[in-house]
Amino acid sequence: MSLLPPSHSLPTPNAPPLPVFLPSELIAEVLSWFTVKPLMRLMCVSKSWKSLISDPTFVKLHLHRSSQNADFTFAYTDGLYNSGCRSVSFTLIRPFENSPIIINLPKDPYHQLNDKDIRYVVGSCNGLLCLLGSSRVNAKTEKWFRFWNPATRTMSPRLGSSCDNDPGIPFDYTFGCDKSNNTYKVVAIMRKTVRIFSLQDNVWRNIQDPPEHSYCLMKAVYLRGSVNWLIIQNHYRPTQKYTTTNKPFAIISLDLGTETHTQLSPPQGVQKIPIDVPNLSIVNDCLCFSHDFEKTHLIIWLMKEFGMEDSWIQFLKISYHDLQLEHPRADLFPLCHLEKNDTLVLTNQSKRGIFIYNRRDNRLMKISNPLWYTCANYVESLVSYC
Amino acid sequence: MAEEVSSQMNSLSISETNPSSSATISLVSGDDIVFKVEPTIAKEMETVQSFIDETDGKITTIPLPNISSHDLPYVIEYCEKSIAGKITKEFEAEFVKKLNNEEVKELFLAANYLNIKKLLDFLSQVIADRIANKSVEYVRRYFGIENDFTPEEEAKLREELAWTFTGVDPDDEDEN
Repeated sequence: MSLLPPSHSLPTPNAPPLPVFLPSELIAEVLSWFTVKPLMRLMCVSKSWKSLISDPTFVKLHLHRSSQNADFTFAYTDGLYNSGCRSVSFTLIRPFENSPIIINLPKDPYHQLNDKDIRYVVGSCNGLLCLLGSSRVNAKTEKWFRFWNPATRTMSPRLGSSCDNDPGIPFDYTFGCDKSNNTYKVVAIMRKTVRIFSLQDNVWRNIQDPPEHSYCLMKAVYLRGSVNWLIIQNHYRPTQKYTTTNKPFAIISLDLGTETHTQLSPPQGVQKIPIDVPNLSIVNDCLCFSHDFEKTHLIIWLMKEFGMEDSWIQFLKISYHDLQLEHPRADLFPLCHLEKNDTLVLTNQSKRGIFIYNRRDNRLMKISNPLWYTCANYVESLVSYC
Repeated sequence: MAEEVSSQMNSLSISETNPSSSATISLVSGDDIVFKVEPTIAKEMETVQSFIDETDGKITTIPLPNISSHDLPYVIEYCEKSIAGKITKEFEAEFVKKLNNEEVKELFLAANYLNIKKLLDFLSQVIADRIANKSVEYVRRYFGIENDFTPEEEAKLREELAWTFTGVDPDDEDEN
């Protein structure tokens, strides 16, 4: 009994082989591995390819592949806040064999944003960079954002303009994706309120029921549809010693979809009193809480399951001695972890240094890169701001 | 052509005329060559394994009408390496060095048909690498795509995307 369909294109001997045709779903599979520039070029292949490459499902598949890349790319603006305008630079860290290699990507004239009045990279999400621009208008500072995909070379006009007296430093803003509404949002954390700018409706909104004391200690971080920041509870006084019982710190987690917040506890296992303010960052796609330990070590915790306070684990304890830090400061925090060769990339805001620390052989590389004043972990994508 | 291929993907059928008591699995290529493989190899091929499971392991001869006796050994070789945990960059580089563009596409179709995720991902990357820097015309020929833009539409699009046309390799017609 044979239920077999006739075989389609097996070459018969002596006949010239027929070219092999791939069905469209397999073509999408192949194209999903491309980098953005050649993909954009291949929009010229045919109408169906042009619509495939701009199709949201394909853009998502491509982003998924791009995010799995083991390399880390950081985007940052050079210079200081008040200096004139600037370009956006990119540095790539590749976990190569035993030690990572660091590549400062070639300066592209396109990345010179002088005519755009850009001051800072606020953040990066799904290949979109949120840039902060400002100018002085009648003794007031006008601020706005531009949303830029450097890979597809698309940039939004000025959006979310505001003219107020806030200092408007990039630390005040966090950029992220609201997955439930399929849009992007910028969160501004002020002393008494929290405001959200949504790209979908192009307006600023105050969140309802803001956290009682929302003062943000360090830059907030975006993780999986939420913006998270560290606060000091009301009863803290600078002269007061921190203890584990008075719980000076808490983490506010703001859901970008519902625009409501919850409060999370830092790791319970923090036994000793941190001398300096701890840090929040994102490592291995987990919320990361790091703090100083007796001026000798940096302790790094990961929340393995986001939102679950009992899932904090102590990830690392590194001695400042191993990091060859003469004057340790607790503003040191991890930027990323290269799992392939167990290397941690750390930075400290005060010294603006980058440390690349290999755990396996306890080896350290220091990059004095004054340009990384703010930096954002960037992934190339086809995502568009609108 | 595309529809024909995808319709065949779901219609793998089995020959019941040759029940076998041995543990090895016989894979029969489209040109009727039998390849005997260990059951662990068959496990790597999801399409094959699901047929074995559906028949409670009673049927061990499986016709693969879409796969030629030229391609099947490559698939088997890859699966063997995969089971042994020996898929290294070096192995992969050697593996594709032997294959011309048409063979890579054939093998890619085979991997899709047999549902071997690792091989499918690997070969998509191989094809992507081979054509990443090629001209639009080359890519059209490679995939057999008809250009349905009017000359004006295409010229306009090319102008908009002019920055993507730097660093394109010159066409090499001898690739195959």
